[in-house]
Amino acid sequence: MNGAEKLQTGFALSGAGLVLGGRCIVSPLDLDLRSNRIYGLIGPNGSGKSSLLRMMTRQVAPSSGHIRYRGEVLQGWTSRAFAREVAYLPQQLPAGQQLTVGELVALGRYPWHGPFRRLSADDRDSVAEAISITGLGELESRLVDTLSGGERQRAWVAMMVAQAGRFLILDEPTSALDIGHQAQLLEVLHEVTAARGLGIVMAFHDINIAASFCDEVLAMRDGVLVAMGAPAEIVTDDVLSALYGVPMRTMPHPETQRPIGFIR
Amino acid sequence: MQRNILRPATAGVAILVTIALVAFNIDRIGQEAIGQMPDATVARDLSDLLLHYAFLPRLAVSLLAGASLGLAGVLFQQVLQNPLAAPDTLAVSSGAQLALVIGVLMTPVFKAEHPVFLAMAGAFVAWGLIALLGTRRRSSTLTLILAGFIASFALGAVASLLVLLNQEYMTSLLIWGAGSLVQTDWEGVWTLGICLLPAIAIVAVLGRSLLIIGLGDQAAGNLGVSLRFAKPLLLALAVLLSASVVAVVGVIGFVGLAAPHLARVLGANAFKSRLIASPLAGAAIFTLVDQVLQAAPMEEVNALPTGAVTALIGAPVLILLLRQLPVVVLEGVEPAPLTARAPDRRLGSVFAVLAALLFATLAVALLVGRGPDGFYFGTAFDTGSIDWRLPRVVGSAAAGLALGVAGCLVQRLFANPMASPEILGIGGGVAVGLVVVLLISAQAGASLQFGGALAGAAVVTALVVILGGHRGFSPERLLLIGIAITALLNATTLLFLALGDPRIGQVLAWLSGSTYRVTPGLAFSVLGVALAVMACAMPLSRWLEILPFGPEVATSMGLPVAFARLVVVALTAMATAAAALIIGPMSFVGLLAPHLAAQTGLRRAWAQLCGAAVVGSALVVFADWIGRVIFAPTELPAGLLAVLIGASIVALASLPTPLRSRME
Repeated sequence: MNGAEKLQTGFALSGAGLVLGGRCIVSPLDLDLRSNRIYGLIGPNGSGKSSLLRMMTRQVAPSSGHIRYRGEVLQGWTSRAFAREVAYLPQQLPAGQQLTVGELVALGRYPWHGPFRRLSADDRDSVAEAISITGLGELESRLVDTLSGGERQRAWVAMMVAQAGRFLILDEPTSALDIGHQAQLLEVLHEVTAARGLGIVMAFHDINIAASFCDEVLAMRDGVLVAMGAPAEIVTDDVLSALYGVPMRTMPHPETQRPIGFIR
Repeated sequence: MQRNILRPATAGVAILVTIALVAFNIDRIGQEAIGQMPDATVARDLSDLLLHYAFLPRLAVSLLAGASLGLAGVLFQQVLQNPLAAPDTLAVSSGAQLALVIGVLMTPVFKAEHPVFLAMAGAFVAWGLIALLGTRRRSSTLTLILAGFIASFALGAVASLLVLLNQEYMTSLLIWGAGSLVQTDWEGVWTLGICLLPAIAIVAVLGRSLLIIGLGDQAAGNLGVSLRFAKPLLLALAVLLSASVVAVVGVIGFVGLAAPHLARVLGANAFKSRLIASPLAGAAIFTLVDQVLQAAPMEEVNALPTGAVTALIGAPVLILLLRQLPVVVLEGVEPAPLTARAPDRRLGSVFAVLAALLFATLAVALLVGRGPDGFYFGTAFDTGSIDWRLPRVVGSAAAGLALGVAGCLVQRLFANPMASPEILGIGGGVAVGLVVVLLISAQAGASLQFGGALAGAAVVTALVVILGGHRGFSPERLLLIGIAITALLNATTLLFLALGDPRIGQVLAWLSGSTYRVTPGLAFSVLGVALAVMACAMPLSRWLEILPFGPEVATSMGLPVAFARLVVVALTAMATAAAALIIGPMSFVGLLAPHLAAQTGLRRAWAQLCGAAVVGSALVVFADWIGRVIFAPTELPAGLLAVLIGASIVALASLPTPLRSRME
């Protein structure tokens, strides 16, 4: 029953791999990801994190195996139906094109109303909810391009929340932010999962931030999923050293006792 | 493996063919001399004369000009890190050309001893213009090319306006402008050589800096290469080389852009080998084309300007090579300029002002004329003036509307406020359609011309759609195709013009966007097309807002990206073609109108569409009216004036901004 339910609520990758130009970017891997959980994807540069996320969001088709979402292969979903379930934000934020925060978040409702239909009451409610969860109420009528980096990230997250019912997939959303804004963004994402039961799959640059934030950490190296488990299982001397190829050690956080990795 | 042998082999064969052609042409000179002069000694003297004062200088000029363009191209591409940079795409050539045209026209008053200095001044001014536009928007690679495209057509427009106003010089200016290589002495060779040889020496000295520049500013700074010195010097060299070529043989499209890519395709992958191979490739292509033209048995072919023919051959080659070229990645997404005004401006009042502006312009255009006694006001129903004015005014308004909408569409497609519908090359297609109809039938009526123009537009649109679809209509690809098609079409038109056909005036007048011959039927059908395109575009405004987010985000938001791009391209093509029928292929109203609309605070796609439509109409109607009255009874074409008005607005708007952004 547990397995069947997993299939119904999230992603199931079976033998999904990606080969581009004769080079193996992601080795075939099997993976189940459920909603209502936060997954952190870590690994060195070029380890295939972004490519995995791009496969899961239908940006590229896997060259082997297949990916199912809620029991249906990704190709079987229509683009708008899939967009109502899963939202994706690339590493590089698009320019805001002179939209206000409110207008940007409202565009997130596109998969629900399509190109022609007018905004319904439902749409308006979701937009208002997304804005309030992300704490953007005061910025609603500001132009996105005039916001600070952290606020811009939050505006895009709000757009994703308004768009997708089940999964948010983000590619290193914190890499351009200072530590305060990182913490703020992660806080917002935590609230989103709590309020809406969303699943989040996120690539991280910083192993310790991933460990402190995620329910489960996936470690990739050279396109291979080398380890997966709760942060305490991944943040160990052996796994980290093997992952990054430099000797690494861990120590407990003075307050939370969570393990912290560092270079020896 | 096979490819590695094949590619140098291709180059070798091309060189052998060129040498064979040179030998054949030399022999032919001797034969012809004997044919003309029965006396053997006189014939030998004549053939020596031809060889030494016509053939050899021409051969040397073709080699040197090709090499100069190849070197300039590779320098531009490396220093600017932009695979599309070249003397012609950066408007440097057209700047030099305009300066020379002005020089020729001023000759009685002020005679330039050395036109090459004039060309250099023009080239540097043009380059300054581009650099200004580029720095203003922090020089994304795509923006620089778009700015160059606009500037080269604006400068070209001024040049053709001058030519039009001075018809007595027209033919010689056109033939030279199209890149004729005919020489009568060694002066051109000296000019090119004096520029090229020191340039080669400097590049040889700075070769390593040039390599490091390719790594980006930061890395170059860390390695201790002073970019402050090296970059401007190398760019100045490239500009000088381009100007020397324009001064000696005119604007040669394509060699500068294609030579470095050709070198790469033929196997010169490392930068160093490309630096050496590009000038060689440029010299080889150019000489080969020139020798083929000279070897042709028909005299008509011998007289064709080599520059235009090279572009004619080069453009399809570039299109064919598109797949082999490394994927051109242009930093495409460009933040739109922030409107100075608060976002919650009342849309109603903005629209009211714009509508009032349009009605005022329409009223002035319909009611105010200029007669022998100065300006007069009135409908002049009794003299029938309104019957003359109405089709022009309606046609101008329709063309402006279509271009405003098309501009909005294409700027959102490219996510770049410097994009303009002209870059799809559709206007050029209309031009060639018209030219072909005129070539085929001497007495082509209006409807036949109209049909030819439409067919041209349809063919180009189909080409853009077929070739662009390969990569899901990515802006980079569309831009490349547009540049290639535009070069191809320009070359065709130039060739036709250079042949000295008596219908030159008619074609030129149309190319420069004159509305004299607009019939009520044409005006109202263009208005119909323009309104239909607008009616289709308005409901798609959500697509137009999501598309600029880039394909990844747009896909994940559920947008059918390739299909949406196709629809936008098709709508743009229709609107551009319809407008070109009235005000010619190049007006850049499509660039300006959306920009001005955004400046008034119309940010949303639907609002910007409406605003751009209104502003575009007003702009073209105004340009048409100015052209009618300013030098009355002589008329200036509306399209050219729209370019000039638009270019001056853009220039004015961009001047203070670098200062402002530096202060922030």
